[in-house]
Amino acid sequence: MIDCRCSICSCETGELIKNGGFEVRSSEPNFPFQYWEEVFFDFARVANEPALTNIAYEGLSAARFNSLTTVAEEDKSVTLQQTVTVTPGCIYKLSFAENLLTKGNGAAAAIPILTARVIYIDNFGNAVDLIIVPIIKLSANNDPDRGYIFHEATTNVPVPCNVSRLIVRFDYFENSTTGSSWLLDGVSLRAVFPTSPCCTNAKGC
Amino acid sequence: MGRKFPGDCCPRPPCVCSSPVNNRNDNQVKIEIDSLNCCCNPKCPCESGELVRNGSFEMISANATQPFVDWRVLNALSNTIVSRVPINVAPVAYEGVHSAWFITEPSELEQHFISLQQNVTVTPGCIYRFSFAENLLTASDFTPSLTGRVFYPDGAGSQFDLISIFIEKDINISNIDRGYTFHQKTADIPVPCDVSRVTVQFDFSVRDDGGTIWLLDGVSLRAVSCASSCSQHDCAVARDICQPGNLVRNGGFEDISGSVDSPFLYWRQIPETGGQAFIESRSDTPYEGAFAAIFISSATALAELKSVSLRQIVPVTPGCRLELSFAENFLERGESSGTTPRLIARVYWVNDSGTEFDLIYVPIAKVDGENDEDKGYSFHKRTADIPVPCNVSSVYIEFEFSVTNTGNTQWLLDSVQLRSLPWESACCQEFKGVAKHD
Repeated sequence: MIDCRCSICSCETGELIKNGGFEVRSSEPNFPFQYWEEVFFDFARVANEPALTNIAYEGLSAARFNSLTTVAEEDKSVTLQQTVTVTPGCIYKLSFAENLLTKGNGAAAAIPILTARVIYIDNFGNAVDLIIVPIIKLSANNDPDRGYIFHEATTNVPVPCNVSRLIVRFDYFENSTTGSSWLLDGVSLRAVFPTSPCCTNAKGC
Repeated sequence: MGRKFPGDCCPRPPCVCSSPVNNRNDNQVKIEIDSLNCCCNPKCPCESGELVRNGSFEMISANATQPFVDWRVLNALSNTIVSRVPINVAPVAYEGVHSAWFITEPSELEQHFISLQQNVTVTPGCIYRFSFAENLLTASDFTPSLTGRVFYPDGAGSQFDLISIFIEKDINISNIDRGYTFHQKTADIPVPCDVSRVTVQFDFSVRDDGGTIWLLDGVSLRAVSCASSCSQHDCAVARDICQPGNLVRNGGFEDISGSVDSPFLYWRQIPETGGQAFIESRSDTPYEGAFAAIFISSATALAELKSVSLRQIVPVTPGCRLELSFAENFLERGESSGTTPRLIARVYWVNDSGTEFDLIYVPIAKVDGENDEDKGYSFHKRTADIPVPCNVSSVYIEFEFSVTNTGNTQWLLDSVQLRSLPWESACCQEFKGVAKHD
């Protein structure tokens, strides 16, 4: 038998996220890990130091969202994102694992929120959500330090036929004095089905 | 004359390998394509979206007799309820804010039971994947169980399970309040061609005096196949698709009638005997079912490397893309283990000269001293980036455990699944070879 794949109209067969295991750190400014950009940080950062990131889901390292400690209660946020080239018309599945290590506090208990998103930018510059997974940790007794939890979400609609880039984004937010620590690892984005409907009328399909 | 394509398919170029190839000389290959062999590209008649409504239990029902929109409670004994988070208790959710709380209340009757179900419209001939997350928050004296099922009524009025996930937890500190655990299974067979509706149901049961709380969230049912096997209009939809049934035998380690070299049927322990690490069955902390496999390192006077592997050979279809999933639970670090505990999951094939080629490689390391021990099960899933080579018909699935210490390390493993993605094989079954002409 030989390899006989038909490449026309095909969605990607491999992993689309680079360094989804956060095994490779980066020294580039605002890139704590290779291929991962830290943006919109405000009283919170993404840590990459080995001593802070060695509680891993797979491999040896994870990304760690850390809020800074402040005297007054403050909104604290940071986003970690990666831009991915995709095939128009394909349906994609995002998966990752997260572990709320410590839960912060304030006058009221802090409510850390980690929101996983897969978005694209439309022709008007608007961010359009294809996947959104909000994770909200409300319980100080039952939520922190419970190990890694796996999550998986699939786009309900295909990537539009005029879109070829997606942004995989993790938004961290809380309002607190003493901050929370939240680990993220094993980020994956893969095509679900083998073919794209966007090529129906293309030449050769 | 070309093939006539039915309405639900769009034509696609034929695979070049679906016809004989003649090598007329050493430098030129002539490829002939028979258009009659042209296959069609289905417009994905199986659903691409989520089929369970309100699977995250975020929407409360306006009907006072039902707790959640789109879900129905049934078979309830009077001392057992399903509700939203109780008043004055902080929500504990997998995703979003809310979840379903199965709660037992004190009563004279020890037996507690309740079911939560939803009917779902499906496409006959499609294969579905069922997933959810659960969290046993509190338990009293007895062994509660939660069973997630996807079934349809057969002709005789019985319920036929397409997917069943049975979870039973002993009253063991390692089973309680360990956070959410994710579960996922794919049906081994498609929905029959005369069935267009299935039921997603959770059965909660326990004998206790009240006080058990089990949380459920993130319920999902999705098609994994693009094409239905109940095709209409002569569309060649599922004919050449890799079948996504579980290829691993005894992946849940439920059959412990293995031979001297392994406690589990179909699995082989390597080395079989004599090592400082070994594998046993464990019944008090399973992920699903009644048993799990546990890797254990023996205590020794001096620190030394201890390793053991669990292996199964699995027949596969060349050209298919494999997806491995399993759940593991690092139960006990063991004295003086430092940063050394490792569990490596591999799917690989071996060539004639004995060289191993990894298709899937998942390394798990427990480096931190405090925060990664006895945290409950973590689910892992990894898809091979390349298909099974066309000349390979079996692969090895192996879990390699190792640690350097003096102590007694314990690592649980359960629910090993290896499935093909329901995509076309990358290898052409009909390839007839190259005619060689001198």
